[in-house]
Amino acid sequence: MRRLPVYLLLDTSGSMKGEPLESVKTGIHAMLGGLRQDPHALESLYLSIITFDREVKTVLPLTSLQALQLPVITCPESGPTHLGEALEVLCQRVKSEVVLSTQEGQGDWRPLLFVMTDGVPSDLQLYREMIPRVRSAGFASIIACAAGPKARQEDLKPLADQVVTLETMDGNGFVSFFRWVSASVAAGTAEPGGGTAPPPALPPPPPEINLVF
Amino acid sequence: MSADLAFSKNRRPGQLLLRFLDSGHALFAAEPGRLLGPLIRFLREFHQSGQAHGAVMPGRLLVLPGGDWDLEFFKNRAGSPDALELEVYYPDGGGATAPDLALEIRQRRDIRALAAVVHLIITDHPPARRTRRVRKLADHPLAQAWPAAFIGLVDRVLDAGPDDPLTALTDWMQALGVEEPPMPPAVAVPPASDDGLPSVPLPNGMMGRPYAVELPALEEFAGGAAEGAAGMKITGGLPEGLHFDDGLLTGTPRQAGEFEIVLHLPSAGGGSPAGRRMLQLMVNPSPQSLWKNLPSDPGALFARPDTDTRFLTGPGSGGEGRLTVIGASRRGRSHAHVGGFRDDDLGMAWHPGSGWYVLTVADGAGSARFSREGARTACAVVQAYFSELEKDGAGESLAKRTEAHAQCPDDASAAQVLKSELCRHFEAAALLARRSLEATAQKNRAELRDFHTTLITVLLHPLADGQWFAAAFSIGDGAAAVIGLPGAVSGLLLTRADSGEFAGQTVFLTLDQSLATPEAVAARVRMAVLPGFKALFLVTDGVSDPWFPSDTALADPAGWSRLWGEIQPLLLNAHDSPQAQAEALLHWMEFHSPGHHDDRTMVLAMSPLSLSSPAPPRA
Repeated sequence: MRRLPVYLLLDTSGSMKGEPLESVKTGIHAMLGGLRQDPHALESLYLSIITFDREVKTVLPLTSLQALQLPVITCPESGPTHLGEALEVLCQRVKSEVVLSTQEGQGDWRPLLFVMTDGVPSDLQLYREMIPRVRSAGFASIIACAAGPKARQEDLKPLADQVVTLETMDGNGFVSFFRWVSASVAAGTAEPGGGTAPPPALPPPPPEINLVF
Repeated sequence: MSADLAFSKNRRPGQLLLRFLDSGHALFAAEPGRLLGPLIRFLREFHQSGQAHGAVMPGRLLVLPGGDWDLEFFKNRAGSPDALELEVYYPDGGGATAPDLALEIRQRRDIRALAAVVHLIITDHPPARRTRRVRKLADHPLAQAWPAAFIGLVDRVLDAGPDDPLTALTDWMQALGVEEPPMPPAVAVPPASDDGLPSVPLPNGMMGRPYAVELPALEEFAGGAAEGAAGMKITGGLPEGLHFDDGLLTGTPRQAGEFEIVLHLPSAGGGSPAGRRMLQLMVNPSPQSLWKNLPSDPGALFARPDTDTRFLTGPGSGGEGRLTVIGASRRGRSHAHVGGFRDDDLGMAWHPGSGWYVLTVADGAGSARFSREGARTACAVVQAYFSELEKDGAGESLAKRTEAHAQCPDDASAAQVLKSELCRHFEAAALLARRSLEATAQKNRAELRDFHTTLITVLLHPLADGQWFAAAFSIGDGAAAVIGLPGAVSGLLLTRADSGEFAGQTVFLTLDQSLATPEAVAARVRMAVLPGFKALFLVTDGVSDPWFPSDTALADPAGWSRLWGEIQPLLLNAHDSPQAQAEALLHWMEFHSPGHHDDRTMVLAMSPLSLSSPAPPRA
């Protein structure tokens, strides 16, 4: 069975504490609920969630949508945003989890990556070093979400194929974002992009989300 | 009771502290600073603004679903203590009830009350001894005297202490006689369910699929000898089709959704929250039940039917019998689900003048918007090209070279001449198709990449001596293979799929790279003299992907024989007409294989003998 691996990198630095994090959790819950209604996703989607603050945690290793149960996601009081380190962990996990085609077996579909952050990478140098590695890790599409006023889209543009911004960090915004993610993922399972074909078109975003060109 | 009223009146999400600790103490234990830090900081700032709170007590502390304080709630309740708790937390009277006291004294009393709250949070008490309401104040651990050192420590942290109360935690522990700081649990503790019961996630189920979980075997209940299966009971919440007996949750769920089931444990007795758990069960819908079958838009540009069948018959080799060719193409579930078009296509022809069968299949790229037209054009133009050969005599000359090669297969130069000629024709046909698509793209203000398609072409020629000659040309994925050869090699893969590291990565007719050099073209062409065969297949990846788990399997004739073994009986049932056989093939293509819902297309050439001999045994 060919799998569609989807990686979700979530900022859990101190500034996400409280309502933003609760809204993100609600959003993910809604996203999973939506995906469970999609037969493609139910059969082939595998999801991994990696959180980053001063620590990087793989709170959910790559798990099938059918079997997955939402992990506990928490925020520290305060502290740095180690996005660079998170990308490093991501590359290791993709290398060990995503199956490539060989003579003996079918590979997975190209993975999708969603990164959500409300701040600026604290480990900027590592972050910049990681960008080319992530770009060459085989992702069919990399989508970054700059949430709230402090996130800088310029930092995310070199990493992502598509940057979206969320002006407010309330429940509506995040739920809309994750609903859009699930629509994008569903589009990915329906038309898993061929390597030489253009990446699948993203569905139009809801009004809370702004696409950055 | 008053605490509950205060909570419900305000309709705020969250749980009062005592109730939260019933299930959430582990959350605190995992991150001690999370509850203590903000509370201490809040009270410090409150005091620094020149006020006393007067109601620092569990009944005035609300914890949000994620495990954070609702500090707004706490702030609004300054000066309105919970009457039941007042005696415990403000034994000498609270701030609001003693307004004549000096601010400093009232703040001291807040600090003592805070110490009691910190004490409660740090020590936690066995769930069985905690109740939602403070019933017997005298017996309650909180009613006991505080070690002065502990209050002093809280005081110090509040006055001038470190920003991070975690550093004070060890000191507090010692002052309270708690030896070890609470250790984070080894596994992440799930959040409490809405009812405040400790929640236990069960493995997910699927609608219509048998489910069985032995509750006492779950990690959450491990080690609780008294919590044996016999006394476990559940109330309500089970999805239809599941039943619970003797610790065993079994059955086949007939409902999908998220279910919360209250489990009563025998050991703790009664209806106390300690003896109950909230089982969380997710039942996924069955994917089969979710597939929609929406018609494609007949008015759209390049509209085409969702299925197609073709057939023809022609002469066998050596003048014996007839060759039957059938073909079927079916829109995949992934396209049917969204009302999309079938992107596959097929073609077949017999050219008596030149003596060639021309068979084609093509698979438009899923991500290209007009790929259906790409596939259709590829098949149509290639068929037209080889049809023209008949007119100008080139087909006949190709047939002659083929005869010569078959009679003298060891003559390498003759083989080379033949191969070169085949390459030239295949390349010319493919480039003609590409140019035609370029024109179509221009006419429709689209790009060539909007028409991305793969292409497999097989030329088949009956030789005079009873043998067959086959030449295959392929760009992209899918496969062509022949089986039922007499002799040691029972089958032959005629194509080499273009595939990448990931699924779905392939090359298209519409990409320059596919025919960039003579070597690239030659690598796409294979030819073979077949002493005889039962069946020759051309399939798109909608068929080959679910049937062949790897390139190795694709190259193994045994897999193709199994495929033939599955199809042959269906064709035997419909042997009265090739049209009925093509319909039977189309019907067979509905087979279900998880994760494989692409369009499926097959062209199948069957020698006169193939339907009269029994199918090979299925492995």
